Amino acid sequence: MKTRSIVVASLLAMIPLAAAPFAQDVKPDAKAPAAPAAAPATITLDPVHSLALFRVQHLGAGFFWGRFNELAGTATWSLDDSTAPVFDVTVDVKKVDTGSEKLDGNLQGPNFFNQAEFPTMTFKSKSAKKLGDRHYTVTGDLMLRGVTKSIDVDCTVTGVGKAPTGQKVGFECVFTINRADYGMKWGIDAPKGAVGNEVKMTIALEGDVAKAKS
Amino acid sequence: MSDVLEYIFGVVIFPALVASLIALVVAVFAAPVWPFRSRASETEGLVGFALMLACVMSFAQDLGWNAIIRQFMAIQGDDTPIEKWHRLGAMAAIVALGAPLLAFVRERAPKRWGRELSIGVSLKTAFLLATLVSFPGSSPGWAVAQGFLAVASTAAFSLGARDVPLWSAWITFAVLSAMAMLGGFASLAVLCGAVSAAAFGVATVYAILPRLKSGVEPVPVGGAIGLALGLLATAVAHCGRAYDTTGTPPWMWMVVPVLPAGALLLGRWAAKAKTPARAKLWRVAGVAFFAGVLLVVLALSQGGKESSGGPSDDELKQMYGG
Repeated sequence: MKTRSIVVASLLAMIPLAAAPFAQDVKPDAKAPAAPAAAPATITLDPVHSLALFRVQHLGAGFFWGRFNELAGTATWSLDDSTAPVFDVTVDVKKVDTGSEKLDGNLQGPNFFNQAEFPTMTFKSKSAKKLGDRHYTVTGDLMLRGVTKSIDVDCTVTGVGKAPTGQKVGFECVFTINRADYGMKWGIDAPKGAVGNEVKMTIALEGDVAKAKS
Repeated sequence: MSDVLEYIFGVVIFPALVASLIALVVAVFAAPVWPFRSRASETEGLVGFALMLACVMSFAQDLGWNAIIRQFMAIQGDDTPIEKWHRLGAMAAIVALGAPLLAFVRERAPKRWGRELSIGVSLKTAFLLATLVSFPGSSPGWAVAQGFLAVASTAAFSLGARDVPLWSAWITFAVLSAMAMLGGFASLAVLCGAVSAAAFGVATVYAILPRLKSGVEPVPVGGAIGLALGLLATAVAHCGRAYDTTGTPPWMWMVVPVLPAGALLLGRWAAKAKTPARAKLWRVAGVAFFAGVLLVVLALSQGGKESSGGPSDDELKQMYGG
């Protein structure tokens, strides 16, 4: 009997210890002061692991995919998701890659991106609306071929990871534009329907979180 | 009609047909129309106008008239940027009006000043072309080269090609069209295709009509046609060089506007020809030979190119970036 009492008492004594790992799930006391939100971190985009994919309909039939291999810029975001991401991204249109050198040349030419006159395409955030955990609609200015227009971008934070070089953050942003709005009209009406007007872009970004100054 | 054929008809065939029709009307009507006093001036001025009109029509059909209008004035609600190569359309429109004007002025000027007038206008327009029509990457050196090339090309069309400027233009602009197509510049290719087809159409009119109707005079080369074709060929060549994405050597672009000088290559055979028609044929063959050599060199240079790019070997960079 004495032994049983000791075992029960021991088990009861262990309950707080066992519950300790789950303590963070407990709702904080309303009277307790809220934890301060993390300051937004500056994330420098990693050009090797960032790219922009585009998709456009060819001859009214299949969707043709291409990519831009070189992106640069920064994102700003709080790692605890307390603030929305802010982007300042520049794409080098000369780095367009379709898998065909000849087609790359066509796309760089004046009928499409006209890289000789407009070598970059840029996106700069203006505002954002939170849709869910790590999911936002980011509104900003897209500059393409010298024309700047406001667009909405569906943006998801895909993850926060660690590398030997430091912390990394990934984003995936999707938006659709009408290329004619940016003066890229060849193939829409003349020749009719050769290349679609609607271009869907998927931007995969990965960047390094700037280390805090000590 | 398929969409592609409809496009080709609109940007190449139709402008060429309009130019040929103008040439046909000019050739058929016996009396010169005011303000021209002589048929030679009228023919030269209006044929020059017709060729440039084909260029303007092709440009406008492909890109819209706004692409030309916005070069001169702001269009309400139009935020499309002005692209430097669109100056070709504006330039062709100006030259289209300038060709009959030069023919008219030359006709009214004292005859002994005719050649000096043509040379003076060629030099002035070459200077204007060099200073006003610039393309991406144009340095002062390129501008000077453009001016000299315009003079050389005008001379090649007016003096080198002599009585075959239209057939020479047919070949020259066909070569420019092929090079633009190889360089991935479809709009420039169809524009040159339209000028080439127009030159072919007009040349055909003046080759066939004298056999069917008496009193049809050949197209004279008093400067207006040579100047119009020389300026356009030079501007197109510089435009093609500036936007080329395939690495075609710039000198190849620069040689094309002087292709009509190839008419002198087979001059010995042309001089020995028994009929004027055969002499013309030798001169056209010289231009075609010159063009053929250039295209073979171009094909060899394109074929010898190695693929560039490829992934980096730096594994750490591939893995972690930075």
